[in-house]
Amino acid sequence: MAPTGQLLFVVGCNHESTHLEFRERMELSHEDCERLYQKLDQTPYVKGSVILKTCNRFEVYATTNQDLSHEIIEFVAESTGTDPALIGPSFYRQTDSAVIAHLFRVSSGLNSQLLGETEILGQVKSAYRDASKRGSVEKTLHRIFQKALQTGKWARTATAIGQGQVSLGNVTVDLAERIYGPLKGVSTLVIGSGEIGRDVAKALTSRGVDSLTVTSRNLEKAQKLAFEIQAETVPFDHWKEKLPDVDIAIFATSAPLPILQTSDIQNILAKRQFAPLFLVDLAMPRNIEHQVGELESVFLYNLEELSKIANENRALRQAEVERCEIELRQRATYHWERL
Amino acid sequence: MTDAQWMLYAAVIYTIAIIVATYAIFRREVRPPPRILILALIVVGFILHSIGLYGRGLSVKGCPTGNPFEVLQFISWSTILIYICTGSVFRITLLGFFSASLATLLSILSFIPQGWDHPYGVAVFGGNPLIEAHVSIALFSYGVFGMLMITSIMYLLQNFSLKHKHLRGLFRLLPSILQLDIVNQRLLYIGSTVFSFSIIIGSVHWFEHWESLSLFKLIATTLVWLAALCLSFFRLKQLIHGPRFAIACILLFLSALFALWPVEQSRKSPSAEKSVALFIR
Repeated sequence: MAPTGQLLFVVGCNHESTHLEFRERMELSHEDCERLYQKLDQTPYVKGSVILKTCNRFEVYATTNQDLSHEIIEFVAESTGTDPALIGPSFYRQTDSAVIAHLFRVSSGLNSQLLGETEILGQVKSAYRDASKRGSVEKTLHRIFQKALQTGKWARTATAIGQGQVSLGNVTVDLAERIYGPLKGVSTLVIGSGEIGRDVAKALTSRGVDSLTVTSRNLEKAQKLAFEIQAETVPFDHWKEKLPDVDIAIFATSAPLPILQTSDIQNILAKRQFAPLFLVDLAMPRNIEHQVGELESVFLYNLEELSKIANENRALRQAEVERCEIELRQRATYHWERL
Repeated sequence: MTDAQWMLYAAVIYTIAIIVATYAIFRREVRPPPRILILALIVVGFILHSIGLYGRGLSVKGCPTGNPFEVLQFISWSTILIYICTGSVFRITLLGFFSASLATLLSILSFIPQGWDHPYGVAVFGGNPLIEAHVSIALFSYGVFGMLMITSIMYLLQNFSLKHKHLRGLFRLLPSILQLDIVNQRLLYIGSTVFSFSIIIGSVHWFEHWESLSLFKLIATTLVWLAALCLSFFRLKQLIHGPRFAIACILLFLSALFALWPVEQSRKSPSAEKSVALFIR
């Protein structure tokens, strides 16, 4: 338990308590956070504090002997030019053992918008490090943050909450890595300029694909997408000539019939010396004749199959949540009793 | 402790490595098998294995490859040696698990038939260092082919996983198709080169002592050698690829193992005794 008269306290808002527009308005700068730290340092009943600010979350953890929520909400309202009465209801507050349980959920990715995401652990670590550096963290906060980092690590390595990709783009990237290993140097052709193709192409570039080509019946749209994802364009009439030179081809056109036949791909494979070819068919109706997937060295995945993988991964993560929650609650109680 | 007991303990340690890896693969946790622990177990097993083979070598006064038991033990030992030497270069997940599995399998196979560890006269190769070098280098290349079989199986598993959309369990830990294909290619070239080297060494002796040569053994060995060279050539020219190449690599190792039978038969033949007699004289 915390030392007598001392309260472990958290106040903040996240994606669950607020909507996107609200969070955009509440965006605090680095300077604002520094001013808040200074304010908390000067508040006599605050012993220590850590500010955790991410794109979906703003939280202040503190050891104090009074409720701090009023001061925090006032500060945020003042910094963002908002009425405190409007933002107050969106802020949650917790005390004592519930703070530890909450922080453990946050660091484990259980409280994230994308369940089990790993970035949050680094963000908690960085918030704790920054606060420690400026001398704002006292003994109790040191202990619970260190335990939270250990717990976050445990959740990632010992449970399946972060296992498998849950978005189409990341599922595609995951499959591409199983075929090619690291994606640096892997070339990709995007056929069609729709949103779904763009998302998958973006996911591929974020994981190292550095050679992208876009083609579309609508040249203007193709150029727009190419600009957005730093790609080249090729006229739609010539995309088949480009196919032997690429490793991944993403099909997302609105063509009513398949535009890639088995006979096309057989010639292409010979030209490629049977190097693996990853074909992603995101179109509905399908752009690739399904028999293409039976050819040696061709790995064909359509929208339904990718969605199925994403859904299975999501279900697997969900199934792990309960196991993880029980363990986190036990850990929180254990550490609270030993503070 | 006898040399065979050292080899048995080595097999037990390899089995522990397999159990640890299997547990890590199939438990609900997402971590890959503990690489350092598995490597440490395999190294301990390898040390015990080396002690056993060294002891056997001292008692037979030569390279311990004189009966089927010793041959299988030597191939098993070579596979592990190659894993220890190249594992960190190839950086392939599960390679240790599969290498230990093959080594254990070969080891168990060598222990089961009672008659395989039959005694043979000291210096079955007539104490001829040329033949001993030929045999040990050939068996070392079999170890390389053994490793090639392992990576080929991994390739086929990954290919099956991606083709049939089974992406969980063991499959999620397998290396990429491209990575395995490159490793297969390199192991084939290394194995074929080492095997060719052993054939060249052996042929020096055969040319000097034609009368000692067993035709059965010569044909079997030459066929395996030609198979390795042809496969290397086809691969170099991109005439074979994908799963067919992986299957051919597996068949190469299996045919090399089967070719040991005519080799063993040739040792029992009068011409072999004649060869030894010739050399001793």
